Amino acid sequence: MMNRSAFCLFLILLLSGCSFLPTNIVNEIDMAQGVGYDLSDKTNIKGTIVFPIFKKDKTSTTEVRAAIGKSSKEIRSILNNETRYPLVSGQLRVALYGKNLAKKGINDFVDTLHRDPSIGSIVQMAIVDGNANELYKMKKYKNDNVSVHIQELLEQNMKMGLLPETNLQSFLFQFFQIGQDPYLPLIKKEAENIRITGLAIFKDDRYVTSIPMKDFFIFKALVDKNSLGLRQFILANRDKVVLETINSNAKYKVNIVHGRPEFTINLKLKTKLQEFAASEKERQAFDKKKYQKQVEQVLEKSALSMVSQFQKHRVDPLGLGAKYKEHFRGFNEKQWNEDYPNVKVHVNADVEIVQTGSID
Amino acid sequence: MNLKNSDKGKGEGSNRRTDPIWLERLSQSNDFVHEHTSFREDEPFWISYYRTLISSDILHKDVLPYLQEQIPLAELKSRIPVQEIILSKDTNEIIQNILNGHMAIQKHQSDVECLLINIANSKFRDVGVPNMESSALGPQVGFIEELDTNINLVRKRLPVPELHVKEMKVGELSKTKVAVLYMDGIADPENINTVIQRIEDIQYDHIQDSSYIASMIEDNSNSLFPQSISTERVDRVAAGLTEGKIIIVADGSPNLVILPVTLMESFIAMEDYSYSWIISNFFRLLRLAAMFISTMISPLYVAIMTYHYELIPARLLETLVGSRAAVPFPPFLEALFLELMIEMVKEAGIRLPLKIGQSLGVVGGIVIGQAVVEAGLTSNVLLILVGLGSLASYTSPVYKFSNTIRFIKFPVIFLAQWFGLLGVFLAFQLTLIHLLRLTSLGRPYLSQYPIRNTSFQDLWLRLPFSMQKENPTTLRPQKKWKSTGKGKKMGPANDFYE
Repeated sequence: MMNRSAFCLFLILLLSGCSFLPTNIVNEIDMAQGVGYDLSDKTNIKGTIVFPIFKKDKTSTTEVRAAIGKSSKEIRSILNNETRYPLVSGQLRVALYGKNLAKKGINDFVDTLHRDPSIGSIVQMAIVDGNANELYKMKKYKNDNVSVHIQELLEQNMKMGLLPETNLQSFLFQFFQIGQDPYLPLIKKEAENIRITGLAIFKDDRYVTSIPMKDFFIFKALVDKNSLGLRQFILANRDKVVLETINSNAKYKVNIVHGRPEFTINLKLKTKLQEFAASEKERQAFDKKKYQKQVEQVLEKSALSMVSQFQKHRVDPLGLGAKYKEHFRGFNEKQWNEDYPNVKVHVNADVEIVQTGSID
Repeated sequence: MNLKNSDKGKGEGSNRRTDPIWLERLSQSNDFVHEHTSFREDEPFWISYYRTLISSDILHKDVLPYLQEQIPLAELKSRIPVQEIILSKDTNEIIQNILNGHMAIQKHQSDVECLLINIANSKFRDVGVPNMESSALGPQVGFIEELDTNINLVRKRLPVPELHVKEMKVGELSKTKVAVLYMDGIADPENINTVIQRIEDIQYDHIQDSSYIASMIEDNSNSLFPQSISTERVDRVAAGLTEGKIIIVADGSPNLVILPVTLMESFIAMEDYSYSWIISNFFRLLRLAAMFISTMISPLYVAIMTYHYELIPARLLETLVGSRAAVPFPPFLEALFLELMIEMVKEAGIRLPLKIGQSLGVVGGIVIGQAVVEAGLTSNVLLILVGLGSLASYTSPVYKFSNTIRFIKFPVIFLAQWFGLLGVFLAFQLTLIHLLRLTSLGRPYLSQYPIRNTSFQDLWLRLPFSMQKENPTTLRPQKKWKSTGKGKKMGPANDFYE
């Protein structure tokens, strides 16, 4: 009895020193916060890993390491040979892909992100117009955490700005959804600054085209629920109206006419007048109905031209195919892909200016 | 007084006559006095007592003046103006009473029969402020070491004949007077009988404190959780009695034991009833939250810092990792070291005299804590967390329970080191299972399942007094409603079960 309890005590003391599972003690690992992939040559890619090094006196620095390999985990194991602590990916915040690589398809490098259980689904993804490695290596962000900087840059624009919400989770959803193509923000290094320049539109996992900043407003209103954002409308007679969305709601209707689908998008916007400059310099009250009508026309026009752009490139970021599939049992993907460029889409915008400001 | 010490004469005298057995047994001690009140052998009286137990004031003022005439003991009994006088021939009774501060009066030295007069010296400290359970508002009366005074304090608060007191003697050597208090007509007779029977069954040679009895009659003595509340607050005892709880008082102990109790009662301070119900709810839930913080905070630190680095928010990463950057130990040893250090400071603070204890707090808390961080042995984030946890452990108004909280985090730290968050969760589950199984006097200790209406009137929450209508059903009180007014349904509360 005495022996047994002594043995138990010994066991407890022994076990307390070690542990049953492999440990990742926070100061004995190098946590990759950003990864980037660029095309190196025809078969190889250049992977970049960014990880912070924390010091006790809060003078932390960011290390950027790059290696050339065939897969992301191969790159990681090459880089492990030159880091002080093992590289781990649980703190990953942002994944960037070079435009040239994206044109060839990024699925091979997204795959590892969702296979690794330690990586969360809110990792931000973006396509770099240029080189991801160069973006990470910017001297300006040596002491500032560049990956967290990019993550927060994207997130604040999704929350308050015009950028539609994307992350790893939404990318994967759109990628695996039949009848929908993913989209990701497009960022660029411009004059020692990182800025959002557009939205990259994919066909499956291949970069096809991008939409410019000026179409963000209508695109976000079409894909996001309750999207916020500010847009300036130059109306007839060069009246300038700046509206901010308070509430938006886009409803997609599918009608099957002669066996072919037709789409009606009912877009409802509740907005707030932020700025108004009439061309006629006369003292007059803001004619709400008149301008609502004009704004609606502008929106409908720009939405239709955007959709026809998508149809021309045979990409479907709005997920019209997925909506069609929901309504029609005999959905055939091949047939749909052929039909898509010629499908009729109507847009009905309903803009309501709820608030016109405190002086009126 | 003409007193003649018997010690000298006893040696010769014992040859020709036999002393009663009790006299022989008691006179072994030097503080036993056996004297004759007159110069003549055949005249009255022989008195015997323990010098250290009696009050000489009462002896000289109230007893000795009546011992001049030669009158029978029975007549003497009616003359002496002392309350408790017994005429006895029973050896055991005589010994027992003399040991409790009575004096014996014999007519002749060899008589077995004697008159027992209670002249016990009952000097105790005054009724004072409760030391361990202080409160800003509410009555400032605490129990003391004397049983009669304690019962007197309770009776003053509940002056009704329904307050029954049942006295017993426990302990083969200590012969401690133990009293069981309950409200007749409210307390469940089953509970009363269980308590009385369990106390009667105690076989132990000495009882120094009511906590001895509490832990001897507990349902599960291997549990970390105290299944009774020891309190020195009079209001807590009186409130418990009216709900149908049973109180155990032991002579020589300023703590009264309340049975049966539930876990949540350890978070109830009597002060709660002095505030608005909204405010007191906030404090009551704050104490509950403090218990979770105290038991979970350093295990969570160990688990997250050792295994789950991916849970740390990006903005917190630099603070947490940076503070640990130069620490040479794994988080487990770091946390264990700091927790043990804090516990040592606390323990030393309790054992040391008050004046030294204060300076110890400064030494332990500031100097060592700061020095440890400066030296890079632990991270300053952990120091904050451990300090917070240790502060939180003292929010429970029941001292025994806060000691449980102090202890319980250590096994959780070990589990966190072995299994990470899974271990913390495991510890939580095991504790919950244990608490669900635990009973106090056969009544559920957690009182969480099945959910009772009364648990939300005044247990988990404290509703306004107008809504605290029922006595807690887990106690199976005989009286269902707290007040008898407004034509409410009367009768036993446990009709649901019958």
